[in-house]
Amino acid sequence: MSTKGISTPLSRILPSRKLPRVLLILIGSLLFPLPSATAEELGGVLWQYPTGGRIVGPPVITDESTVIAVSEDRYLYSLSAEGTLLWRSDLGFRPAFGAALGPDGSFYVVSRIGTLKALNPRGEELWRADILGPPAGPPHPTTDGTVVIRNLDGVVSAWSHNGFLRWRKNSERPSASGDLMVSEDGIILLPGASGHLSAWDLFGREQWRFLTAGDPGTPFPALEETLGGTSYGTAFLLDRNGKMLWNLSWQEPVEVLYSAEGAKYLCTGASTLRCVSPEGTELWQSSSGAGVSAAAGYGNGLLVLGERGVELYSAQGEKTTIISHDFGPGFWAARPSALVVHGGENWHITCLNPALFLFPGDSWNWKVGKAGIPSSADYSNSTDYRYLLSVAQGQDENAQKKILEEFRDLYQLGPPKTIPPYAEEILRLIASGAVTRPVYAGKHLLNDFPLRRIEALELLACYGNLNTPTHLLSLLALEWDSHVTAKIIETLGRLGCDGDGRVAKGILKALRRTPRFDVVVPQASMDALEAILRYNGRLTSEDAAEACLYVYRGDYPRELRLQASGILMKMEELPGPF
Amino acid sequence: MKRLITLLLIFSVILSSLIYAQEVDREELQSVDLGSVEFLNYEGPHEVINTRNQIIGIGTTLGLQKDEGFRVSAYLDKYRVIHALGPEDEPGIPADIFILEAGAGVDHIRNLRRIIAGYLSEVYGYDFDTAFLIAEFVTVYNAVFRGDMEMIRSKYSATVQKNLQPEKVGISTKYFEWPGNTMMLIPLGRAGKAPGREIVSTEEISDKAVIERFREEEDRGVEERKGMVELREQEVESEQQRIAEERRELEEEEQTLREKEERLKEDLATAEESEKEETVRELEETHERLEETEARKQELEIEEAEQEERVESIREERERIAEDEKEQLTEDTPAAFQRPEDRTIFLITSEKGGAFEGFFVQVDPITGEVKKQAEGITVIGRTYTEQGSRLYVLGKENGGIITLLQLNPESLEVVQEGSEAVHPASAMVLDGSNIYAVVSSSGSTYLARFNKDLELVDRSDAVVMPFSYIKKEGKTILVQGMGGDILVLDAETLEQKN
Repeated sequence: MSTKGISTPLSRILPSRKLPRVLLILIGSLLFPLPSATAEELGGVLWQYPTGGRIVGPPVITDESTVIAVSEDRYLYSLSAEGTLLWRSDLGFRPAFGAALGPDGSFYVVSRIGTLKALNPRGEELWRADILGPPAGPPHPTTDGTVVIRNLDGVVSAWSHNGFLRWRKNSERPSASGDLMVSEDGIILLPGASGHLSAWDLFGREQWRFLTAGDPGTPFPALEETLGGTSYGTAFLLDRNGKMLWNLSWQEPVEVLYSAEGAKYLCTGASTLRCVSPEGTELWQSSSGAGVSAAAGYGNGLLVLGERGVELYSAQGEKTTIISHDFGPGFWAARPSALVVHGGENWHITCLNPALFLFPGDSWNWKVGKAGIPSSADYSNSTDYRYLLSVAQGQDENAQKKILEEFRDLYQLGPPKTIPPYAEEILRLIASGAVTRPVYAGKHLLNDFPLRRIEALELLACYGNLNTPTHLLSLLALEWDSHVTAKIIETLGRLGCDGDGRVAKGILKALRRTPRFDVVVPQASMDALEAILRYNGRLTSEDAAEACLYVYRGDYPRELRLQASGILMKMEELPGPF
Repeated sequence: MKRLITLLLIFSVILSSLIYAQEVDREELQSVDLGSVEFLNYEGPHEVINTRNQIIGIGTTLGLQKDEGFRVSAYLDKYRVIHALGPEDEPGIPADIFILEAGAGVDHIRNLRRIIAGYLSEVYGYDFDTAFLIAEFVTVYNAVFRGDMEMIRSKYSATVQKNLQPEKVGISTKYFEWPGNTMMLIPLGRAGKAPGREIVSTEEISDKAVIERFREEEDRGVEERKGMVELREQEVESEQQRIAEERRELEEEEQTLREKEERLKEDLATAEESEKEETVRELEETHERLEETEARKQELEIEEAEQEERVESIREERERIAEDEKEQLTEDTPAAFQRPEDRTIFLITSEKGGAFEGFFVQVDPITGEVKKQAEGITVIGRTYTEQGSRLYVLGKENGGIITLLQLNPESLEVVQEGSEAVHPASAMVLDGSNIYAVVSSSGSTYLARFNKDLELVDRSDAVVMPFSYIKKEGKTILVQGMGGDILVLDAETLEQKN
């Protein structure tokens, strides 16, 4: 939003020398008054968008400054930074919580009765699943694409980004005042009704358990530590192993707001803000007139967003009221793109004027949690892992076949048992086999088992995560068997994600080095590009168009060429870079 | 002679002005455009002023009689409700018929709605806000379909129709036509299709014609329509849950019956002659029960489809509301959330017969320019209290009773209205979440304690001076008694301690 005044078009009416300029200026000033539309005069709102129902859960602001909000009218809305509707998706159900944004741009929404739905970045349904009961909180996507969610009975489910159930485990019933959170390094924190805060890894294995002094609220996980509070009036800080570093007590329920390196921010009661040092000393407290619905780190201080306004607190506790307005109950979201958005019970999505948040000398410097890489699961000492590793790297085809059967059974026999955390790694090793670790006896390749590689690749579509395509692309560049190559491409398609276009690039290279008489690889390529297009809502790479043109112009069966042209036409319909 | 002519002229001028005034009144009344169901209410002084609770209490009393099994409830000779519910299988919509008799004194649509809301709360268990919302729709519905016997014959049951007088059906938009001339229909539905579980038919009272009337208002009736949509959605969810639960039970029963059927068939094959008859009989019973289960499942499918239709209708209304709000946002300037230092609250006061009254304005603190003025709110006295993001004041809204008011300082609109009449000379003291003021009751004045929602929590037994100073001191309150003595009351219970 420009804060400059709007100037009159004087230059367009001054060229004549016949009329005195002073007179012209006088006339002009009467005809064209000089309004200056500063941000303050326009008010605090950038735009408002009415939906057909209450906004459910905090809106999401994407990297492109798109605002995503879910309404009780059963729609998921995507609005531009200027407040225009980009698209909306009919969820088909009343949502229980707000949408969650995955690291690959997918959205996840859950219904009141427990239907989890995944949508691509254009709002088209990718898959849906049953979490076996009403949800206790929204879905939580993790950095490798796994989506974790808990229902009111305490059943925790984890789904891959492409819709495969990873595992499902019973935890204790959720606490009344808290929802699970997932830390940057992939630890799932589960507040329980018994007063325990449990930590699980991304494979559903409990790491530690901490008994709080009461009903634990939603924790604030940060790297290396966890900040938590309870409705009984205590706050605590734990290290990464769940050992308590300190705890504090007050007479009112404690809600965790934000944890920064230099300070921890809590809310006690309805509106008392407290700042605590990393060592557990209370630094200051202040009563918020705005109410406290949400908070975000701002510079070295804290932005507090409430039902009655927005306030800024410096690190020393000095308060500045930015807006005093009755927003009413609702949810807040804020991003470094200078968007602050409220989704309210008044059925509106409201975006505040970013000029309100620009202070002299300040830069727009939000602290937003960064997506990190999950710490590698510690299973190197596992006997089972070492055995599987030796088989995957070895030359015993039958042993590999048995492992693959076992992994397949894990999926096919009713609700999956806990999948070993090293399953994806073992499958990758079997899939790469002789390609990356050839074992020769003279000229004879001892460990070339293409059928096992194909089987492993098939299973990788279920067991893979957002990091798997990177490994598969390396494999694609080296694989010599066209059927295995086709399977790699098929698996890449089933994994779906290709936000940066590397998969399309790899597919194009594979096409170009495949003999023209081979139809298997081109067919798999077109199938994969269709799947990727569906998953991402678009194809982001020129290489994808190039691959389609390669097939379309080639001497391939008519149906295949029609499929290629269909993808091209679809790409042309969609806005954005291919 | 000249004197006579002069007197005649004077007389004729006076007479003509009187006639003209009457015609103006009639013309004025008749010229009011009430096409948008804008109710014409009495706004003048009242001989009898009832508190909000007393007005609601009329409806509650009518409801209590219904609870005790009376088919017809009556409040003195002023209000009557006929619970026109025929046999369960009677076609057509059943209804409560809400009658304003000739002696009914209600003359403001807000108060009429309060009476209806009190009745609905008592009989159907709605919370008051929901009941008031339904009452709003009921009154507009009855105004829209005033005298429309064709509609009534096409929809309502014979039991309802035989209790109606066509010339009185519905409600006029003019208050002076209400007494003895009003028979409002409150259409009923059955929650869960079960007898004895009637609820107000929100589908009927939010008929398209009724919604269109709301849309003709300046604000498109958006808030009321939102409330009704939420209520309808809750009802649908409740029904869908009931259907889902019943379906689950039926499926479990069906499973059990099929297993039993299999078992009986096996038994029949191996049973002796003497036992076969019994087995056959059991098998027939099981078959019958299975057929009943199947039939009920099919009924549930129909009910499910009905709920889906309701969901579609609700979604359409949500879309319309969103569109109407979008139009309003483009018509109006965007909401201006001013920085706090841009405006300040001021109370413009005037004197009337030795007492002070006023109204709120927002002014530019630099220039004194009035930016906004409160509408319809009269402040009694010259003081108000600001706490949190609210203003607390003694006042009246639209000429109603004097009571505690809670206002939004940004919109200058009433957020909450007190439940009791407060003496106009009373002081007002805020202390934490308590508010103390002097209330009138049966000709005497007492100290009362209200909560933040302006609901009466407690009242003193001791009579106090209406204009007494009120001082909170620790856990006690000091006030002036009628004899001029200072009373020490417990701050929570208001019991006298000295």
